[in-house]
Amino acid sequence: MGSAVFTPASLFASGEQGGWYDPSDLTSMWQDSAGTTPAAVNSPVGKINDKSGRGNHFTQATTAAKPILRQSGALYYLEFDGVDDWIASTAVLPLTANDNATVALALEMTSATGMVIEHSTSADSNNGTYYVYRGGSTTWRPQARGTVTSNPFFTVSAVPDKAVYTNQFSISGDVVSTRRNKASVGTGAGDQGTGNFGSYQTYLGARAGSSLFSAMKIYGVVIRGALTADPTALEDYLAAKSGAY
Amino acid sequence: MAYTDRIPFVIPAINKSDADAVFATMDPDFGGAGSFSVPLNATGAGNPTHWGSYGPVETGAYAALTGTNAALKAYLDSRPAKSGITPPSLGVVQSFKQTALLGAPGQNFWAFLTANGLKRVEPVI
Repeated sequence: MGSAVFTPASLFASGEQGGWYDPSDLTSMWQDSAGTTPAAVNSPVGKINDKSGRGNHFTQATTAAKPILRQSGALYYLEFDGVDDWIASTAVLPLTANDNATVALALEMTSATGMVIEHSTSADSNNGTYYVYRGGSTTWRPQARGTVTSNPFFTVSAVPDKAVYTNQFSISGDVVSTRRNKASVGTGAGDQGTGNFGSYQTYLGARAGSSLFSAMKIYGVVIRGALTADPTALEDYLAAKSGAY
Repeated sequence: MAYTDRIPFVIPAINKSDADAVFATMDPDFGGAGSFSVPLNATGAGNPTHWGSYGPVETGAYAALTGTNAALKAYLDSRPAKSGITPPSLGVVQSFKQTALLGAPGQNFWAFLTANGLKRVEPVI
Protein backbone atom coordinates (compact mmCIF):
# COMPACT_ATOMS: atom_id res chain seq x y z
CA MET A 1 0.00 0.00 0.00
CA GLY A 2 1.51 3.36 -1.00
CA SER A 3 1.37 6.50 1.07
CA ALA A 4 -1.00 9.31 0.16
CA VAL A 5 0.39 11.95 -2.19
CA PHE A 6 1.09 15.18 -0.32
CA THR A 7 -0.59 18.40 -1.32
CA PRO A 8 -0.56 21.67 0.64
CA ALA A 9 -4.30 21.24 1.23
CA SER A 10 -3.41 18.90 4.08
CA LEU A 11 -1.78 21.81 5.90
CA PHE A 12 -5.20 23.39 6.30
CA ALA A 13 -7.07 20.28 7.39
CA SER A 14 -7.38 21.42 10.99
CA GLY A 15 -8.88 24.77 10.11
CA GLU A 16 -5.64 26.69 9.84
CA GLN A 17 -5.93 30.16 8.32
CA GLY A 18 -3.92 31.13 5.26
CA GLY A 19 -3.75 30.51 1.54
CA TRP A 20 -2.24 28.30 -1.16
CA TYR A 21 -1.49 29.68 -4.63
CA ASP A 22 -0.53 27.36 -7.47
CA PRO A 23 0.38 28.86 -10.89
CA SER A 24 0.67 25.35 -12.35
CA ASP A 25 -3.10 24.96 -11.98
CA LEU A 26 -4.44 27.03 -14.85
CA THR A 27 -7.99 26.39 -13.71
CA SER A 28 -7.26 28.45 -10.59
CA MET A 29 -6.36 31.65 -12.48
CA TRP A 30 -7.99 34.24 -14.71
CA GLN A 31 -6.83 37.08 -16.91
CA ASP A 32 -9.27 39.52 -15.31
CA SER A 33 -9.78 40.40 -11.69
CA ALA A 34 -13.44 39.38 -11.82
CA GLY A 35 -12.52 35.81 -12.72
CA THR A 36 -14.35 35.52 -16.04
CA THR A 37 -11.60 34.99 -18.67
CA PRO A 38 -9.49 31.88 -18.03
CA ALA A 39 -5.75 32.29 -17.66
CA ALA A 40 -3.52 31.65 -20.65
CA VAL A 41 0.23 31.34 -20.98
CA ASN A 42 1.92 34.65 -21.89
CA SER A 43 -1.12 36.63 -20.75
CA PRO A 44 -1.58 38.74 -17.61
CA VAL A 45 -3.12 37.18 -14.52
CA GLY A 46 -5.71 39.28 -12.72
CA LYS A 47 -6.91 36.66 -10.28
CA ILE A 48 -5.41 33.60 -8.66
CA ASN A 49 -7.61 31.58 -6.40
CA ASP A 50 -6.65 30.36 -2.98
CA LYS A 51 -6.62 26.55 -3.10
CA SER A 52 -6.48 26.17 0.69
CA GLY A 53 -10.24 26.46 0.91
CA ARG A 54 -10.10 29.67 2.93
CA GLY A 55 -11.19 31.89 0.04
CA ASN A 56 -8.26 34.29 0.29
CA HIS A 57 -7.99 34.93 -3.44
CA PHE A 58 -5.47 37.39 -4.87
CA THR A 59 -6.50 39.94 -7.50
CA GLN A 60 -5.09 42.80 -9.56
CA ALA A 61 -7.42 44.98 -11.66
CA THR A 62 -4.79 47.04 -13.52
CA THR A 63 -3.47 45.07 -16.48
CA ALA A 64 -0.13 46.91 -16.53
CA ALA A 65 0.46 45.77 -12.93
CA LYS A 66 -0.52 42.14 -13.41
CA PRO A 67 2.07 39.38 -13.37
CA ILE A 68 2.27 37.34 -16.57
CA LEU A 69 1.75 33.58 -16.64
CA ARG A 70 4.76 31.92 -18.25
CA GLN A 71 5.57 28.33 -19.09
CA SER A 72 9.01 26.73 -19.19
CA GLY A 73 8.79 23.11 -20.20
CA ALA A 74 6.40 21.47 -17.76
CA LEU A 75 6.71 24.28 -15.22
CA TYR A 76 4.46 27.34 -14.85
CA TYR A 77 5.16 30.56 -13.03
CA LEU A 78 3.95 34.09 -12.51
CA GLU A 79 6.49 36.57 -13.82
CA PHE A 80 6.69 39.84 -11.86
CA ASP A 81 8.59 42.54 -13.75
CA GLY A 82 10.14 44.43 -10.85
CA VAL A 83 8.72 47.68 -12.26
CA ASP A 84 5.03 47.87 -11.40
CA ASP A 85 3.70 44.32 -10.99
CA TRP A 86 1.97 43.19 -7.84
CA ILE A 87 -1.07 41.26 -6.73
CA ALA A 88 -2.80 41.22 -3.38
CA SER A 89 -5.45 39.43 -1.42
CA THR A 90 -8.76 40.90 -2.47
CA ALA A 91 -9.82 41.30 1.14
CA VAL A 92 -7.93 41.07 4.38
CA LEU A 93 -6.22 37.74 4.94
CA PRO A 94 -6.84 36.86 8.56
CA LEU A 95 -4.07 35.19 10.55
CA THR A 96 -5.62 36.10 13.86
CA ALA A 97 -6.03 32.68 15.44
CA ASN A 98 -2.53 32.69 16.92
CA ASP A 99 0.89 34.27 16.73
CA ASN A 100 2.55 31.72 14.45
CA ALA A 101 2.91 31.62 10.67
CA THR A 102 4.65 29.65 7.95
CA VAL A 103 5.30 31.28 4.57
CA ALA A 104 6.73 28.95 1.94
CA LEU A 105 7.73 30.24 -1.47
CA ALA A 106 8.96 28.53 -4.61
CA LEU A 107 10.52 31.31 -6.61
CA GLU A 108 13.35 32.55 -8.74
CA MET A 109 14.39 35.99 -7.63
CA THR A 110 16.10 38.01 -10.33
CA SER A 111 16.26 41.47 -8.77
CA ALA A 112 18.84 42.03 -6.06
CA THR A 113 16.31 43.72 -3.82
CA GLY A 114 12.56 43.71 -3.50
CA MET A 115 9.58 42.86 -1.36
CA VAL A 116 8.53 39.30 -2.06
CA ILE A 117 5.50 39.14 0.21
CA GLU A 118 4.18 41.39 2.96
CA HIS A 119 1.25 41.10 5.34
CA SER A 120 -0.23 44.64 5.46
CA THR A 121 0.86 47.83 3.72
CA SER A 122 3.92 48.02 5.96
CA ALA A 123 5.18 45.39 8.35
CA ASP A 124 7.54 48.03 9.72
CA SER A 125 4.73 49.98 11.30
CA ASN A 126 1.70 47.68 11.60
CA ASN A 127 1.53 45.23 14.49
CA GLY A 128 0.88 41.54 13.91
CA THR A 129 2.64 41.41 10.56
CA TYR A 130 5.44 39.75 8.61
CA TYR A 131 7.31 40.28 5.41
CA VAL A 132 9.87 38.46 3.31
CA TYR A 133 12.24 40.89 1.64
CA ARG A 134 15.31 40.44 -0.50
CA GLY A 135 17.71 42.98 0.94
CA GLY A 136 20.57 42.37 -1.48
CA SER A 137 21.81 39.85 -3.98
CA THR A 138 22.85 37.48 -1.19
CA THR A 139 20.65 38.81 1.61
CA TRP A 140 17.38 37.18 2.65
CA ARG A 141 15.57 39.31 5.13
CA PRO A 142 12.43 37.92 6.76
CA GLN A 143 10.70 39.99 9.40
CA ALA A 144 7.96 39.50 11.96
CA ARG A 145 6.40 41.99 14.29
CA GLY A 146 4.06 41.61 17.19
CA THR A 147 4.54 45.00 18.74
CA VAL A 148 8.32 44.98 18.19
CA THR A 149 10.17 44.25 14.93
CA SER A 150 12.62 41.38 14.50
CA ASN A 151 14.35 41.30 11.11
CA PRO A 152 17.44 39.14 10.91
CA PHE A 153 19.64 39.10 7.81
CA PHE A 154 20.50 35.69 6.34
CA THR A 155 23.14 35.08 3.68
CA VAL A 156 21.90 33.07 0.70
CA SER A 157 22.90 32.36 -2.90
CA ALA A 158 23.26 35.33 -5.21
CA VAL A 159 20.54 36.22 -7.67
CA PRO A 160 19.27 34.80 -9.91
CA ASP A 161 18.30 32.53 -7.06
CA LYS A 162 15.85 29.74 -7.75
CA ALA A 163 14.89 27.97 -4.55
CA VAL A 164 12.21 26.95 -2.12
CA TYR A 165 12.26 29.25 0.88
CA THR A 166 10.36 28.30 4.02
CA ASN A 167 10.01 31.10 6.56
CA GLN A 168 8.53 30.53 9.98
CA PHE A 169 7.48 33.16 12.47
CA SER A 170 6.48 32.98 16.13
CA ILE A 171 5.77 36.24 17.90
CA SER A 172 5.70 34.97 21.48
CA GLY A 173 8.48 32.50 20.69
CA ASP A 174 10.63 35.28 19.22
CA VAL A 175 11.46 33.13 16.20
CA VAL A 176 12.15 34.22 12.64
CA SER A 177 13.65 31.29 10.74
CA THR A 178 14.35 30.46 7.12
CA ARG A 179 15.15 27.26 5.29
CA ARG A 180 16.41 27.31 1.71
CA ASN A 181 15.91 24.07 -0.17
CA LYS A 182 15.36 22.28 3.15
CA ALA A 183 18.56 23.55 4.78
CA SER A 184 18.48 26.17 7.51
CA VAL A 185 20.01 29.50 6.55
CA GLY A 186 19.39 31.07 9.92
CA THR A 187 17.16 31.76 12.89
CA GLY A 188 16.63 35.12 14.51
CA ALA A 189 15.64 35.34 18.16
CA GLY A 190 15.00 39.05 18.49
CA ASP A 191 12.10 40.23 20.59
CA GLN A 192 8.84 40.57 18.63
CA GLY A 193 6.72 41.94 21.44
CA THR A 194 3.24 40.54 21.90
CA GLY A 195 -0.01 39.75 20.16
CA ASN A 196 -1.27 37.55 17.36
CA PHE A 197 -0.88 38.13 13.66
CA GLY A 198 -3.50 40.46 12.27
CA SER A 199 -6.06 40.74 9.51
CA TYR A 200 -4.49 42.65 6.65
CA GLN A 201 -4.30 42.48 2.92
CA THR A 202 -1.27 40.45 1.85
CA TYR A 203 0.81 41.81 -1.03
CA LEU A 204 2.92 39.77 -3.41
CA GLY A 205 5.60 41.50 -5.49
CA ALA A 206 5.78 44.93 -3.86
CA ARG A 207 5.16 46.93 -0.72
CA ALA A 208 1.54 48.10 -0.72
CA GLY A 209 1.56 47.96 -4.50
CA SER A 210 3.61 51.13 -4.67
CA SER A 211 7.29 50.52 -3.92
CA LEU A 212 10.03 47.91 -3.44
CA PHE A 213 9.00 45.93 -6.51
CA SER A 214 10.51 42.48 -7.02
CA ALA A 215 11.55 40.97 -10.32
CA MET A 216 10.80 37.33 -9.74
CA LYS A 217 9.18 34.16 -10.95
CA ILE A 218 6.67 32.67 -8.53
CA TYR A 219 6.05 28.93 -8.84
CA GLY A 220 4.01 28.52 -5.67
CA VAL A 221 3.11 30.19 -2.39
CA VAL A 222 1.73 28.73 0.83
CA ILE A 223 0.79 30.96 3.76
CA ARG A 224 -0.23 29.06 6.87
CA GLY A 225 -1.33 30.54 10.15
CA ALA A 226 0.63 28.02 12.17
CA LEU A 227 4.13 26.73 12.57
CA THR A 228 4.97 23.69 10.44
CA ALA A 229 7.02 21.30 12.53
CA ASP A 230 8.43 19.42 9.56
CA PRO A 231 8.02 21.33 6.30
CA THR A 232 9.94 18.77 4.24
CA ALA A 233 6.91 17.42 2.38
CA LEU A 234 5.79 20.96 1.54
CA GLU A 235 9.26 21.89 0.37
CA ASP A 236 9.53 18.80 -1.81
CA TYR A 237 6.12 19.58 -3.28
CA LEU A 238 7.14 23.15 -4.11
CA ALA A 239 10.48 21.96 -5.47
CA ALA A 240 8.64 19.71 -7.91
CA LYS A 241 6.57 22.71 -9.02
CA SER A 242 9.64 24.86 -9.57
CA GLY A 243 12.54 22.59 -10.36
CA ALA A 244 14.42 24.24 -7.52
CA TYR A 245 16.16 21.00 -6.52
CA MET B 1 -7.67 37.77 -25.61
CA ALA B 2 -4.25 38.13 -27.20
CA TYR B 3 -1.72 40.42 -25.58
CA THR B 4 1.59 41.95 -26.53
CA ASP B 5 4.62 41.47 -24.33
CA ARG B 6 5.26 44.25 -21.82
CA ILE B 7 5.65 47.72 -23.33
CA PRO B 8 7.33 50.74 -21.68
CA PHE B 9 5.20 53.88 -21.57
CA VAL B 10 6.16 57.27 -20.13
CA ILE B 11 3.98 60.36 -19.83
CA PRO B 12 4.90 63.83 -18.54
CA ALA B 13 3.31 64.43 -15.15
CA ILE B 14 1.33 67.37 -16.51
CA ASN B 15 -0.36 65.03 -19.02
CA LYS B 16 -0.97 62.11 -16.65
CA SER B 17 -4.72 62.68 -16.57
CA ASP B 18 -4.80 62.17 -20.35
CA ALA B 19 -2.98 58.86 -20.04
CA ASP B 20 -5.23 57.80 -17.17
CA ALA B 21 -8.31 58.49 -19.31
CA VAL B 22 -6.95 56.58 -22.31
CA PHE B 23 -5.89 53.56 -20.26
CA ALA B 24 -9.07 53.52 -18.17
CA THR B 25 -10.97 52.85 -21.38
CA MET B 26 -8.33 50.73 -23.13
CA ASP B 27 -7.69 48.30 -20.27
CA PRO B 28 -10.00 45.27 -20.49
CA ASP B 29 -10.10 45.25 -16.68
CA PHE B 30 -11.45 48.07 -14.55
CA GLY B 31 -8.17 49.34 -13.11
CA GLY B 32 -6.68 50.95 -16.20
CA ALA B 33 -6.66 54.42 -14.68
CA GLY B 34 -3.93 53.20 -12.35
CA SER B 35 -1.58 52.12 -15.13
CA PHE B 36 0.85 55.02 -14.84
CA SER B 37 2.13 54.32 -11.34
CA VAL B 38 5.91 54.57 -11.61
CA PRO B 39 7.23 57.98 -10.48
CA LEU B 40 10.11 59.23 -12.61
CA ASN B 41 12.45 62.17 -12.96
CA ALA B 42 15.97 62.92 -14.10
CA THR B 43 17.69 62.29 -10.77
CA GLY B 44 15.66 59.59 -9.03
CA ALA B 45 14.98 61.88 -6.08
CA GLY B 46 12.33 64.48 -5.42
CA ASN B 47 9.03 65.01 -7.13
CA PRO B 48 8.20 63.07 -10.29
CA THR B 49 8.26 64.95 -13.56
CA HIS B 50 6.99 61.93 -15.47
CA TRP B 51 5.05 58.74 -14.80
CA GLY B 52 5.77 55.33 -16.26
CA SER B 53 3.95 52.11 -16.95
CA TYR B 54 5.24 48.71 -18.03
CA GLY B 55 2.77 46.10 -19.09
CA PRO B 56 1.07 44.23 -21.88
CA VAL B 57 -1.81 45.59 -23.89
CA GLU B 58 -4.24 43.76 -26.14
CA THR B 59 -2.87 43.39 -29.65
CA GLY B 60 -5.70 45.53 -31.01
CA ALA B 61 -4.83 48.26 -28.55
CA TYR B 62 -1.20 48.22 -29.62
CA ALA B 63 -2.21 48.64 -33.25
CA ALA B 64 -4.37 51.60 -32.24
CA LEU B 65 -1.66 53.14 -30.08
CA THR B 66 0.80 53.06 -32.97
CA GLY B 67 -1.75 54.35 -35.48
CA THR B 68 -3.37 57.71 -36.01
CA ASN B 69 -5.17 59.78 -33.41
CA ALA B 70 -8.44 58.93 -35.13
CA ALA B 71 -7.64 55.23 -35.07
CA LEU B 72 -6.95 55.29 -31.34
CA LYS B 73 -10.11 57.32 -30.73
CA ALA B 74 -12.14 54.83 -32.77
CA TYR B 75 -10.60 51.91 -30.90
CA LEU B 76 -11.40 53.44 -27.53
CA ASP B 77 -14.96 54.20 -28.61
CA SER B 78 -15.37 50.57 -29.62
CA ARG B 79 -14.41 49.18 -26.23
CA PRO B 80 -17.09 47.52 -24.11
CA ALA B 81 -18.76 49.97 -21.77
CA LYS B 82 -17.46 50.06 -18.19
CA SER B 83 -19.43 51.56 -15.39
CA GLY B 84 -18.30 55.09 -14.59
CA ILE B 85 -15.81 55.27 -17.45
CA THR B 86 -16.42 57.43 -20.53
CA PRO B 87 -14.08 57.17 -23.54
CA PRO B 88 -11.83 60.23 -23.73
CA SER B 89 -12.42 62.99 -26.27
CA LEU B 90 -10.36 63.28 -29.42
CA GLY B 91 -8.58 66.23 -27.82
CA VAL B 92 -7.48 64.09 -24.89
CA VAL B 93 -6.36 61.34 -27.27
CA GLN B 94 -4.35 63.86 -29.29
CA SER B 95 -2.74 65.27 -26.15
CA PHE B 96 -1.84 61.78 -24.97
CA LYS B 97 -0.34 60.73 -28.28
CA GLN B 98 1.64 63.95 -28.64
CA THR B 99 3.29 63.63 -25.24
CA ALA B 100 3.51 59.91 -24.47
CA LEU B 101 6.73 58.01 -25.04
CA LEU B 102 5.96 54.52 -26.30
CA GLY B 103 8.47 51.68 -26.36
CA ALA B 104 8.30 48.39 -28.19
CA PRO B 105 6.81 45.11 -26.93
CA GLY B 106 9.41 43.27 -24.88
CA GLN B 107 11.69 46.30 -24.59
CA ASN B 108 13.53 46.59 -21.29
CA PHE B 109 11.94 49.25 -19.12
CA TRP B 110 15.13 50.42 -17.47
CA ALA B 111 16.97 50.77 -20.78
CA PHE B 112 14.00 52.76 -22.08
CA LEU B 113 14.25 55.10 -19.09
CA THR B 114 17.98 55.55 -19.55
CA ALA B 115 17.50 56.37 -23.21
CA ASN B 116 15.06 59.06 -22.19
CA GLY B 117 17.13 60.49 -19.35
CA LEU B 118 14.83 59.30 -16.58
CA LYS B 119 15.17 57.37 -13.34
CA ARG B 120 12.69 55.85 -10.96
CA VAL B 121 11.90 57.77 -7.80
CA GLU B 122 11.68 55.19 -5.05
CA PRO B 123 12.28 55.11 -1.33
CA VAL B 124 14.69 52.56 0.13
CA ILE B 125 13.75 50.25 2.98
